[in-house]
Amino acid sequence: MSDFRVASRYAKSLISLAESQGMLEVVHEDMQLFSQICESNRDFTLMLKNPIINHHKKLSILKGIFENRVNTITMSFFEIITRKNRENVLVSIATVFHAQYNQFKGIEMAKVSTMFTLDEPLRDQFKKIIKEATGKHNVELAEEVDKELIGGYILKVEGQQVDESLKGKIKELKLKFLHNPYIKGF
Amino acid sequence: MSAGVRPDEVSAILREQLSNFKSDAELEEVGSVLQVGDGVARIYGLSNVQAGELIVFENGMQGLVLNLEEDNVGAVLFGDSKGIKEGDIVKRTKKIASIQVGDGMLGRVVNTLGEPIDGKGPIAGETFEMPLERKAPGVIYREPVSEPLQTGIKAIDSMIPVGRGQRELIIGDRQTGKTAVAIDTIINQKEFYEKGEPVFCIYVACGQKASTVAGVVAALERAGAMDYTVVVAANASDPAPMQFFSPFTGAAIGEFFRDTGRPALVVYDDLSKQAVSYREVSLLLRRPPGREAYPGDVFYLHSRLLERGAKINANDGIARSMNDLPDSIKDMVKGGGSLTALPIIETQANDVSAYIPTNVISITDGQIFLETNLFNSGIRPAINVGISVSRVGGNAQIKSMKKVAGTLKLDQAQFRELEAFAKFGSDLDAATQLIIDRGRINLEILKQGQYEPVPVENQIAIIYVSTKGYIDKVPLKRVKEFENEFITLMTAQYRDIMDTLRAGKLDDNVTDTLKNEAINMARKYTN
Repeated sequence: MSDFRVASRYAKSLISLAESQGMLEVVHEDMQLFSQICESNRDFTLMLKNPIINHHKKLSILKGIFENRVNTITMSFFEIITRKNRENVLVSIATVFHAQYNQFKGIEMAKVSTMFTLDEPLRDQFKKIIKEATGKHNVELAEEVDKELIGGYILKVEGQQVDESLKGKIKELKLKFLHNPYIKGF
Repeated sequence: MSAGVRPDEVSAILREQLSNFKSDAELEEVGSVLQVGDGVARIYGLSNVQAGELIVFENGMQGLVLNLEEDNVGAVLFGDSKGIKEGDIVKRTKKIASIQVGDGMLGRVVNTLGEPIDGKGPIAGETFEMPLERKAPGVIYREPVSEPLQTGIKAIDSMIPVGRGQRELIIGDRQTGKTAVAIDTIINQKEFYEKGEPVFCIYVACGQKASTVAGVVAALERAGAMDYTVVVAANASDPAPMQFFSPFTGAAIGEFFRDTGRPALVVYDDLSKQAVSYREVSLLLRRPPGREAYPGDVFYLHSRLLERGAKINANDGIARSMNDLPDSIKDMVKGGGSLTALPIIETQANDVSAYIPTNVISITDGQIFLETNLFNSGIRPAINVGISVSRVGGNAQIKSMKKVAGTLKLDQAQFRELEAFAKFGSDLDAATQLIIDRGRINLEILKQGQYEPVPVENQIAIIYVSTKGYIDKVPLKRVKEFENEFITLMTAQYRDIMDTLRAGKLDDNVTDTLKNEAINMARKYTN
């Protein structure tokens, strides 16, 4: 997250450019594609972050992968990034871009961790709760299965969370017991 | 824990703890740790957190938000950074740094967060939330210093008097008895505690060795002074933030007593170590360094702390409208309280022109200088009376003491001037010789042992007979012996005279008795 500042500035300008050209949705899809490739291909991410590999080489790799798959705006953005020697922040730019896009569109990103995969009614219930709590009508729910929770769920929405997992409760209890005023501390 | 724990005790604690088990869902504001190290954590998220707010890490450790930046939050940790990992969840407490204070704290040793660390269980009785950082009372709510704070140290009570609500600096090199002066002052408040008008004492040990703190607590316990004293300990092994906040904890506890109309005394031992730990934290938070690498606001750090020492207006109505009163104590506020502060500063090789000493000297209402060479030549407490001052305490002296102290001050000033001549061993005229001899006797009178504070009436009696020259003939070596016998006689046979002295009167009846008894007794010592 140390490249957050740089990434947010690049992402902001990309959004405003795409918006003015009326291509926001297309560019967003492109960036989502880019994020997906980064996630699925570790070598690709490492290559971007590697300072030894020449910028031209990186650009030609980017071209090779994305040339005919993405919009020209996105492609020229990649070009600028390589020219400015910022390939290493490209991954963060994609993440921040997604966040800023959601903010722009009024979409709420939420993450829910549970013991088992959510079924449809439960998912809808979560979405309804989030909509009520945040007042936004679009909710994007990321799901995670975490066997360590033992029971219950953890719901995270923009810097806030509801920890209703058994794991969290047990931890809280443990902390309470750790604090013992009957033990001399000096 | 010791082996003798009863099972029912354990189950009682278990039940008590488990009954508070939280079952309802709660919305928490969270962030995640970006990086952690050197006692400082940078956190992503926590977008609504306030500067100075307490935060809680996953392992239960607390931290304090000091920096709010564009993309991250800088916080200092109140514990070891060992248990914290990158990506850990951090929760807001929505509480600006504050502690729980109550009368149950008396007799206890607490840490910077106000949690007891003496192993005697939770703080008993009702507690009230007091903020660590609080604005000092404004001018309208204050009163001039008028009541004396008896330190029980003859040199101080006579020549550098401290009043209730005053801030008097104790400054000197290491091993000159700075802490001893402060501890004696705390012990001397015992007579007021026994009379039912206690001066509540707070001893803040900041950056001291744990063994030293244990020693101080033991000394206070031995003297029976813990009943009205709270010790705040942030030892040298505690993290820097704990150390530099500990004086604020002391001030918050003192303010509780001050604002409920009671006199309190707080000793900050010592502020130079506090400044060092503040410097550490500031540098780690990348604040720009200034002189001696201290941050630019180190003056403000000390001035805002010491400004909280005050004498509050005796009028309850005025006191109740005081600025920045915490909500928790709003309906128990009373006027007439005071918070006397005795900050301690350790100098290096008597250099008072270093950054921190000059700062604190300029903030306080006077200073008590302690010197190594005086200490080594046997003058203990090693107070250099020539350069020690009290800017406001004079108004707070009781009348009888004021009368005798005036002569003493003059005598000692003349003596210091002539002392140099005496060293040449040249022939001196009778008048000069008299001044030197009397000065030496006075010097002997002003010596006293550690943990032996002297009640004010005894101080006045002995200083009176000495400055009047009734004991000029007593050999120097036997002056202490004379003092002991004289005070024993006076307290045993002339209780009424001593009570008059204590009440502040120095009439002919009193002076005659003192004179006759002193001359009589001195005769015994001269042969």
